[in-house]
Amino acid sequence: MEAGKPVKAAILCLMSFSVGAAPPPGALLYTEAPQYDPQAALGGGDRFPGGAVVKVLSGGTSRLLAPTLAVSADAALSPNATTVLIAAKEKAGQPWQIWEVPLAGGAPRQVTFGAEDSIRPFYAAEGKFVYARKTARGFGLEIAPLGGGSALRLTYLPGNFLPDAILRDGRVLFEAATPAAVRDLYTVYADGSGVETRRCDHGPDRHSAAELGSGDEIFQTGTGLARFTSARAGQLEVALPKGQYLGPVAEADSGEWLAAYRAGGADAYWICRFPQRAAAQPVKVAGPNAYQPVPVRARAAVPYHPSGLGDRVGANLLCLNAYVSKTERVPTGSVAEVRVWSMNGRGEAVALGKAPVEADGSFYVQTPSESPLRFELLDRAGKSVAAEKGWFWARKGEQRVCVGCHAGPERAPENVAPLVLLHTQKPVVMNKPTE
Amino acid sequence: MPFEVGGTRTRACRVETRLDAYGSPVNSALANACHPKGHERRVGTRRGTHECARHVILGLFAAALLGFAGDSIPPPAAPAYPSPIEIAVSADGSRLYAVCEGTGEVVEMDANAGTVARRVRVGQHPKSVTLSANGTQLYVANSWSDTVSVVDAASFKVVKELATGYEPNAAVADAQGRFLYVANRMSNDISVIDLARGVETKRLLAGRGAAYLELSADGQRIYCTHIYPQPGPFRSPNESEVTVIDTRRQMVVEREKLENAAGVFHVATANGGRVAIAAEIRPKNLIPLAHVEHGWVIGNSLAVFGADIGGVVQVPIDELDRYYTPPFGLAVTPGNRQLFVSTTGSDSVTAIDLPKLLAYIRAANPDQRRLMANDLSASANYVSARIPVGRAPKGLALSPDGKRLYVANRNDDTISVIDTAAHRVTRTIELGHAVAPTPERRGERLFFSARFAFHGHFGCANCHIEGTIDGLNWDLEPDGFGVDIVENRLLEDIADTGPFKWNGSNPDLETECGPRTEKYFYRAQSYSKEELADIVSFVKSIPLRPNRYRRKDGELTAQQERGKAIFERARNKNGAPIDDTNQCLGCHSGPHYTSQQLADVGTGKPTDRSPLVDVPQLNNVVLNGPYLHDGSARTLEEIWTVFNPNDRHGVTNDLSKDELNDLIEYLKTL
Repeated sequence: MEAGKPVKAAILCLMSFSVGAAPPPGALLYTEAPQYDPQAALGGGDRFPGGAVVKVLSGGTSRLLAPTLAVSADAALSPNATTVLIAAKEKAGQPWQIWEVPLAGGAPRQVTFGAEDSIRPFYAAEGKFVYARKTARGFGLEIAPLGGGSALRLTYLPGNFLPDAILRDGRVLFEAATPAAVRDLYTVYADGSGVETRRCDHGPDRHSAAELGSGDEIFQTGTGLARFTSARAGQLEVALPKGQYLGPVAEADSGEWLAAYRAGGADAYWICRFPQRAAAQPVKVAGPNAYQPVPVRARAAVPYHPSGLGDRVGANLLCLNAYVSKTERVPTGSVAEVRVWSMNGRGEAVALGKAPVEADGSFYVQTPSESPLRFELLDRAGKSVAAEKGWFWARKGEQRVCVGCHAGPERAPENVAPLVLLHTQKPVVMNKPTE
Repeated sequence: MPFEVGGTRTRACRVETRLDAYGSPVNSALANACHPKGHERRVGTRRGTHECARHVILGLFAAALLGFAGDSIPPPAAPAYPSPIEIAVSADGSRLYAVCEGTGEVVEMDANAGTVARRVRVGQHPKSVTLSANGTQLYVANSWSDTVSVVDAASFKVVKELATGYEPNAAVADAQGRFLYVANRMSNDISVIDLARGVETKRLLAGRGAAYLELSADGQRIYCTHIYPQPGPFRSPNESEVTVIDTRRQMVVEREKLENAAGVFHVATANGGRVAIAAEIRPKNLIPLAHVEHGWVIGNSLAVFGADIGGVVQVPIDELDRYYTPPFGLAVTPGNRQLFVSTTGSDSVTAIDLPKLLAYIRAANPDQRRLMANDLSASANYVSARIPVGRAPKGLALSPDGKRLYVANRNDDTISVIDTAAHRVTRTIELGHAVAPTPERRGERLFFSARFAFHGHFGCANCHIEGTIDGLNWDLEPDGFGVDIVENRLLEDIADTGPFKWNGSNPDLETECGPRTEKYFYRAQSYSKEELADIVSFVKSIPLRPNRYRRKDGELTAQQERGKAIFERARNKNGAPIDDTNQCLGCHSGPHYTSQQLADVGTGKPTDRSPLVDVPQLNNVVLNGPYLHDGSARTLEEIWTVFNPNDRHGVTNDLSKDELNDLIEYLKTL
């Protein structure tokens, strides 16, 4: 198992403190900051250059969630609504680390340690949490036990990856900005397998996503909002008042949306409530300079992912039909081989080898795991017919099948035994690139 | 040393008699399954034979104890749950009739008051209820009794029992009320019964698992669907059919092919019979089951065909991240505005805007029509609502004005009443017999539910249709891609047949249904410890259905006797001894005809990691096709005519064709 930065066991604070009552229904967690650039981390910068604090709004008054910490942001509430994960700095100038704080008040407990920034925590299943940790290759996703133990990396590409939510299906919804691809939303299982784009359309700059009670995902695109629904392959525009929205949206108990909003460029951002009616006006809830709303309420625990990673070398990847694509028209019969690419330590693309593509478009390869991968289709003369632009990865022992090259999540497979498996059950082996 | 099992043994079996998983008393054929009368068993050293003897001894001991206590003390009866599976509405809309397969009855309800009015007992495991054209009679197909009960709607009494083929699943009368058509699920045919004379006059060949019938609005056609796919070449796409009968000529006039469909359930017609719609599942069994998302396991679909369509077009009802499975019951509102589909595992009814659906299909070119079945975003164009109802919704029926939809919720014994305009449940009718669910009943609910699989994609009952099979072989991922293809096996009476899985790697049902299912099928957090115990309890309680090939008196026919002699022979036709391990009884012995060991019978394929396979039980083996561990034999015959060239799966190459037929006729009786 790939181990990331160790997370030290928690040190219980023995100092006595008074514990207040849990906030009533309707309470809200939010971040107050003079300046907020939610995407700065994707460029390696600080999202809160002027500092920030997480506050609890309850009964019309706000209090600091963690008064002993100098800087705090990124509140994530536990499913039972008793504790909060935050990214925080004990003193200004220190790196961001993940802390856990009782919602009712009490001493914070540091759960990550290190010289690098760790931000954007979310409660995951089985007593674990997901967060982003800064490395030499950018922010990467990790999952670790809250009680201490080894962290597992979930992302294996150069670039910046930030978690946006743990979906009700247990997958991690994250946003990624990589050198090769437009900023977009992706999902990955809690063991780092099954990474895929949320919609295979290389859509318009999506980020700051959240899951709604309906299961829809709402996210920022440009300065507006849009959403994915289970029924549609494309994104749906969200009709809200004109203005600027910043950071993730949350859903209140009433079904109304909460978002950091300002009507004009000179105004301060307030967390506003948006009745879901076309002509409804936003109602100020917290602010000014308030962001990252998190309604206080208990919710269903996240289900765990029963990892199916096998005890195998590398990963086995099967393509059912390379001719299936919703964006590129690859003439039937034109593809003879697939070339598999990876990346060396210097970030340069390296060809790992080639495998035959059957007449039905199927091919079967064993690739290195935990490495960048992409496919390129070649004709009989070895000329490129189509090539992936973005990279993906597979975990050790992962076995995955795709319908085609760029088929999209809306395309279910046809029930045909792929020719390649009728000819052989052994994948063409691609070895790890040498440096 | 053979021993004869007689009355004492029957008595011993009786002390173990109980209500089966469906609430019906286990019938005598089942009670005798250990040693059917006239069957001799050798006492040997094999585990199965010992098991058999142990059962007899324990039975005698128990019988003796009962003798002390007095024969009048009956065994504690398990509660029976109505389990309504289909529903019909009287022509004036005032009466509802729910057929309850758990209690073997039809329940009459007052549609306006929402109360139960009367009950009438029918046969075992009734599966359907329909009304005669004039509304005076109800026809109830009794699947285990091989009869149709005719119930007088006025007196609410059974007035006639009509004999059918094996396992009648549905019955529908023609428009004139002269003939009744009955789909026989096990004999794969359709009985045509003269209602005046009460006798079957014709038998029409259907496909495998003939199941549901629909009379077209003009009365000229009857459509028949099938819950199992047709047997086809190994690893080839599945195919089912809708058998179309001309009611005037009483002939099959068309067989609409449903590509890649396996389980096909109800069929409905619209637009004056110019459109027909069948609820179907399109399994993805030929590709490795490596994950679940993106419709990887099953496509929950509708097959739309007829004069207004031209060809068969298959459309999904699923979405990208949510599945509605399996589509079962159908109802079309008057005026053809709405189509309702019950989705049993999802505890919901899907409402479809029928004109939008038809317009969507008509607007598509042939290529688009072909691809539609696998487009998970298509349903957004025609699905108008998903309506939550009770547990395991099955049959649907509309009030005559189309304003109310009645839904039979099999697993919580209720009828949901839906306002078809508002798309919400306005009333729930309880069918009574409310008792706390037993572990078996709780397990049954879990068995039908799709909520545990990733995105609610499927449940146990999707592949083990009503505890049986799907007639398919699957490429399961943990063994590798394209290797260890496995056939799906019957779940009836399997409690004592472990180990499980074709390679015998699961020692018990807890392993089979627990971690294995969660990791390699559902791919999502599934059963709690308590739920797992419940589902195992249910699976263990699934009874063996009556064997239709065994005579009621337990005696074998002459042909079956000859086959039995072959099954039990120790020498080939030349008189040479057959090695103990290569005699049929060498592996297929004991009450379930399995040694519960692994054996290499030469049927391994290059794609198998090991030639050793778990010796399967043979009870009701006739139902379990395709055969062999990977489903490569389409029929029992092919096991030996195609896959036993070297006599490693028993010595059979010395047999004549007739002798092989004798053997097979005997196997059908097991």
